[in-house]
Parts: sequence; structure tokens; C-alpha cells
Amino acid sequence: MRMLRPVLMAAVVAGVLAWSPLPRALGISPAPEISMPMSLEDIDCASGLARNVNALLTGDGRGGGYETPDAAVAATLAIVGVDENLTVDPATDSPETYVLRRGTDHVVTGLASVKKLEDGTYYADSVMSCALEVAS
Amino acid sequence: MKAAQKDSHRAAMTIATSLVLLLVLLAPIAKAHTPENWFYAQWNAPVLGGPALVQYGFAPSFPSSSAWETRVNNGSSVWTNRSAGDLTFQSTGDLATEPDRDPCRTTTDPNSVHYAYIDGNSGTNTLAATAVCYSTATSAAGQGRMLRFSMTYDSGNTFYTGTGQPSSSQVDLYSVASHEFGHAAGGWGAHWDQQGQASLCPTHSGRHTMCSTLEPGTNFMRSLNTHDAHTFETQY
Repeated sequence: MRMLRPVLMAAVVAGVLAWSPLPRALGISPAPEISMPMSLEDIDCASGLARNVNALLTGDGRGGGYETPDAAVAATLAIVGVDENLTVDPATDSPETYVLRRGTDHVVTGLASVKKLEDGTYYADSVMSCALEVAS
Repeated sequence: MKAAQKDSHRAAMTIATSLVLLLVLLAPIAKAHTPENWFYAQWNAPVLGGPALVQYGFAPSFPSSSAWETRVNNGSSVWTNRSAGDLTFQSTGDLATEPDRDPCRTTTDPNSVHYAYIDGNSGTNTLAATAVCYSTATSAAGQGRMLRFSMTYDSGNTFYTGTGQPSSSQVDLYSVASHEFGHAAGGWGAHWDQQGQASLCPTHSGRHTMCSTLEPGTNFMRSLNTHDAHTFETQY
């Protein structure tokens, strides 16, 4: 029994610590739960299909090269041959997330991660947009 | 007798201390990875209860040298048959015709790997891009259902196709491929560092594969790091 006491105490202490902020404060926490702006809940695709284009880039310090967020989004979609006239506006509740709208009635059709670099130019490394038509 | 008691007490204390350290280190790992935060869609496997075989082919535009195709296959292998083995990427070799790079325009085209000019290697240098098409009709896991992917490597870059150390002006094809297949699995609509996890993207071997950028001359994004692996394994 005497031998068991430290082990039992250790289990209690470990249990408390595991649920406390201490591990995270010590920098030993893995990725915490986060709220993803790129989620299905944000967009209702009428076509039932969405595409996600992700670009892998070289490191920071490079110029974005695109004068506007619209141009940056268009360039990323052009990688896969998509050419749509989209309006691109900053999301109100999430920095660097942009809302994509299509057509004159401005239907929300996608979201993009757009960075503004120090030189004032932009690039879009992640664009999610609804497909226009139901594919074959 | 007393000495023996002391010894056993010391042993118990050692076990107890080890237990504390072990639990403190492991507990947050066990509870923190929620795949729905990082995977917006998934291939059928976990939904239907069986393993998913996701095949892909090399478009005519892709360099036909075996070194190029082997490095891309190496990249797909880092995600294959992990944990329960619920997702397997498999190359079918060369395709006869160039599939559509917009994966949603023709979902009946095969999953494909392409080589095309994107933006050269100045300015914001795009090395490669993966596009996926998924059905927004949610799966049993509350996510989209993957239909097709296409992967494009920028012909404007100088890729290193070996397994050693690339030079400072070369981009490691193996590392890029490992990263791209993370997207082809339906994950990381935004990368680690784009969602408050910049600490997972240091410029040394601790850099995770699913960070948003890759530096020429480096090869440490070839293999998955802790959180790349755990997040994927909780999904598949």
C-alpha cells in the first residue's frame, strides 16, 4: 500500500496537468483545435461540387506580384485553367480570408486565403470555389 | 529490511515520476487532433468502412524520366498505408492523353500529375499546386466526398530529382510531392502556418510537410512530421 501511494498520487497529478494549460504553456502542445475559415458550412454550392486549389510557394520575402486580391485569386484559379469573373472582398471576421462572389447578383461562391506582402502586392495560396456546373 | 523498503519506495517514486511525465506529454496529443478542422473532404474509405485505393497517372506533359516519376511516387508513399491503412495512393504510370486540370470540369478524368508553366521562379514563386474536386454533400463524417485531384508542377522551376541534398538553387521534387499529396488526401485547405501554427514551420528538420512554403536547397519536408502524421491518421 505504501508503495502504491506515490503511483496513485502521480496518476492524480498527471490527470490534472493533462487538462490544464500547463503543457501548452511549456510549448509541448500539438496543434490545438481551430476554426477553419475554409469550411463547407461557409458556402452552399448550388452545383454540389467545389474545387480547392492550393499552391505551394517559396518562402517569405518574395514579391506577390499581383496588384489586387482579385488578380491574385484569378491567377491561382488560372493554374488549373479556370477563368471566372469573380468579385473578391475581405471577410469581415477572419483576416486574410476573402469572400468570392460571382455574377451581377453577387452570389457567394467561394473563399480564398490572400496575403498582402510588404511591397503592397498580393498572392492567393488557397482558393476554394464552387464549380459552375455539375460535372459529367 | 529498512533498506529494502527504502529501495522499493525509491523505485515506486521513479515509476511515479515517469508516469507523470509520460501522461503530461501524451495527453494533449491524444485529444488535440480533430481532423474535421484540417480535412474538408475525404476519400470513401472511412465512410464505407474499407480501405480506399486512390490511383493517379502521369499526363503526357510530365517528364517521362523515371527519376521524376519515382520522386512523385515517393511523395505519395509517405501518406500510404499509415495507421489502419485506410488510404493508398497508387501510380498507374503514363496516361495517353492530357486530362483536364480543373478537377471539377470533368470528374470522370483520372487523377493526374502535370508539368506546366505557372509563374517561373521569380516573384511569388509557385512551385506546384494541387486542385481537388469534392462533392459538398457531406459524408457520414460530416465532410465533403473527394471525387478527383490534379497536381501541377511548375515547369519554370529547377527541380532536384535525386534523393540527396539539392543545391541552393534547386527545388526538391520529393519534398514538393510529399506536400502535394497531403492536399490530394483532402486535407489542409489552409496550411499549418496559415492557421496559427507557425511554430510547426521552423527552417530546420522540424519543419512540417504541410507548411505553406518550401525553401530551395532544403529536403526536410520529404517525410511527415509529428502533427502531419497524427492529423492524417485521425482522418484515415
